[in-house]
Amino acid sequence: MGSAERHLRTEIRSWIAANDPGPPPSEYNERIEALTRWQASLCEAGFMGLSWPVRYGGRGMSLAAEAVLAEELAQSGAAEIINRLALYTWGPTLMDMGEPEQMRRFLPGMLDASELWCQGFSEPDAGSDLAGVRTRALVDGDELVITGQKVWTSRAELSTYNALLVRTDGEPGQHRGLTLVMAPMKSDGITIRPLPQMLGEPHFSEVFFDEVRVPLANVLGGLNQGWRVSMKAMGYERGIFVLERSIRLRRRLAELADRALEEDRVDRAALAGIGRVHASLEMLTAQAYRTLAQQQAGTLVPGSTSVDKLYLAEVYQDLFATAAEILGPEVTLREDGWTHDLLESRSVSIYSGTSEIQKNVISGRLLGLR
Amino acid sequence: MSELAVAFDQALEELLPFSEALDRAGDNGSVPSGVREELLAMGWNGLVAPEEAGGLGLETTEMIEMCAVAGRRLLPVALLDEALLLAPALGAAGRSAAEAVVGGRASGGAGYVADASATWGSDGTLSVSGVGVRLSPQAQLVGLVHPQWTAVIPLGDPGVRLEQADALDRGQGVHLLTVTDVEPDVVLEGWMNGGGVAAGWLAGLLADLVGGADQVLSMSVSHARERQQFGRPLVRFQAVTHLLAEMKARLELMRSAVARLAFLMTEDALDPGFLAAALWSVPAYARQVCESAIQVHGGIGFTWEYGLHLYYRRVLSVQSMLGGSLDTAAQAGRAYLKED
Repeated sequence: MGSAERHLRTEIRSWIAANDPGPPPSEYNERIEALTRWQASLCEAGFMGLSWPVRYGGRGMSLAAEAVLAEELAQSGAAEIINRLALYTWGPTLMDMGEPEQMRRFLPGMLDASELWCQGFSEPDAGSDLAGVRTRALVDGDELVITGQKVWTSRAELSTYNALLVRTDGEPGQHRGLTLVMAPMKSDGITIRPLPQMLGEPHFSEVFFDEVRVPLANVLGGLNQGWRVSMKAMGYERGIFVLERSIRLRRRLAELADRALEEDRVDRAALAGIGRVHASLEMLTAQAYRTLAQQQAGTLVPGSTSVDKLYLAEVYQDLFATAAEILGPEVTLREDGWTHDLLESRSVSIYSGTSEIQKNVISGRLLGLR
Repeated sequence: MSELAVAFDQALEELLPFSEALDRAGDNGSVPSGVREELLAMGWNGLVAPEEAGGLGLETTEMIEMCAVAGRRLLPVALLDEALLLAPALGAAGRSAAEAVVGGRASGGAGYVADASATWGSDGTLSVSGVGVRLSPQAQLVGLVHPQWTAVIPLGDPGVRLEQADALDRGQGVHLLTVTDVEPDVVLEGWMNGGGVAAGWLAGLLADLVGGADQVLSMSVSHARERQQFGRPLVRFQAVTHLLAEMKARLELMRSAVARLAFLMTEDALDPGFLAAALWSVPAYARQVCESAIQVHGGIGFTWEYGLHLYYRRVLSVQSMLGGSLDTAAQAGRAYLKED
């Protein structure tokens, strides 16, 4: 970590000390509003897009700077960046594969959260099997006409744009013929039906497309290049994301430890449980740092971030299961966040590629077994 | 791998054939003195010792790489102790005995002492009961590492008692050491004193486990490619490839852990919380990799001849030396609560 990052850490820390809004409200809509405001103020202070080039509104720093930001945010009350998907996945992919005009159009709203993004990959018959995408897009003049259905789209109702994977050619099951299009969610013909999660929050939705017209100018990376674009995006997704999650988990572990000490629950089993989770988190962080260093150096082996994602899910679930054991049965009966997180932890081994898919990637791409 | 590590790997492949490692474990023998002399001539015992003491003075990251090679080629662990603990600890205390260890005239081994089993007398003498140590033949010195100190004990002292303890890791010279009121030759305080001798030794032991895990994973992948069942190779069964994927994930985590350990040591920023975390994690992951390797191989993996047990014994031995899985987890918990 160089002096620029050390200086940045001091800058962020003192800014947060003066501007920390505290934990976001627990009510869903209020929380979304608060988080959107929070990102806008982070952007105004110059902390969004730290690793983005200056010409795209960033600060042209290294990925280590993003790690510093994630670490400092985790120490504050509001760790979450609501437009994370845009900031860490689609922004970098767009800068890599997009047209200059697209970058001018889309990047600013990603940074200040004035335009939130969702991602339309999964379908009723294409979950883990991404190549199974059936949502059709026909070229009509200078537009795509999209018909089909997406599912599990997080925050669809809040989003201005959807990074949408559609089929412009080929048959379901084929990698070729997929196209990534940045579809405005306010377009005619889009119907959003929220699917309440097991946590009782709306969070994700089914999204129906009925002859939705989107300009061809919104295609990212070219027609029929969707598979390549998606793989690129997934590579970007992991590095910072895992680090940010792991730091949030550290915060929760500290809360668990404080409470266990306060309530005199630290017996040998609790010590071993806390120690195991602490150790696992340190290993996860070590892994995330190595991934970031490789990303920065351009030596990241394709597929290797699956290790990070697989282990994130394991540690995430271990932390909240351990917390429930140490804090005793009443913790799951009271509404104080631990129950929410215990339930939520089950989603981590499913979203963004299930743990089974990660193992397929590891055995396929890292061990060469196909 | 660096050129040095590649050369070391090739040399060990010739010097320490796998079949002979099996034989040594079988009759609980030690490395023939000729082989030991060749290793010493290559400078192994001077790996991290300063150049003034006749050592190579390798940086931590280079040392880590060499230890991974040692683990893959099953170098007797007592030689690792001599190179990474005895020589630098004696060197840090300015003892000429450092040169004797580097040159191979003095031999020994080391062990890890948990909190409860050691007491210091007011006259600076040490008493320790029943600590597992590994020793080279004709050992004269043993290094003892405790979370708060490192001591080198002369084995010729009348207060030293050794009992052979070879049930687990045969061919490694494992003994149970009891010490009564012995004045150590050298005492270094803390993890990072004497240039991080104790931390370096622990990092080396963990890196050794990385090498072993790497080796048994390669063996498992080769086996699963070749072995046919139900008319197709094992790698066509997802149950098997998922086991292999979990092994690979564990191996990469071990690599990241050891790399971070080396980085923190180089930056002089190693904290007890991270060290304790690594001491639980790396042996635990290495153990999982070895156990899965045996499982992937099926019956052949359980045979003496195939030798997976040599790696497994080595892991179990290190893990139990450090206190075992539950105790190292509790130590990590204690270190965390102290920092928190």
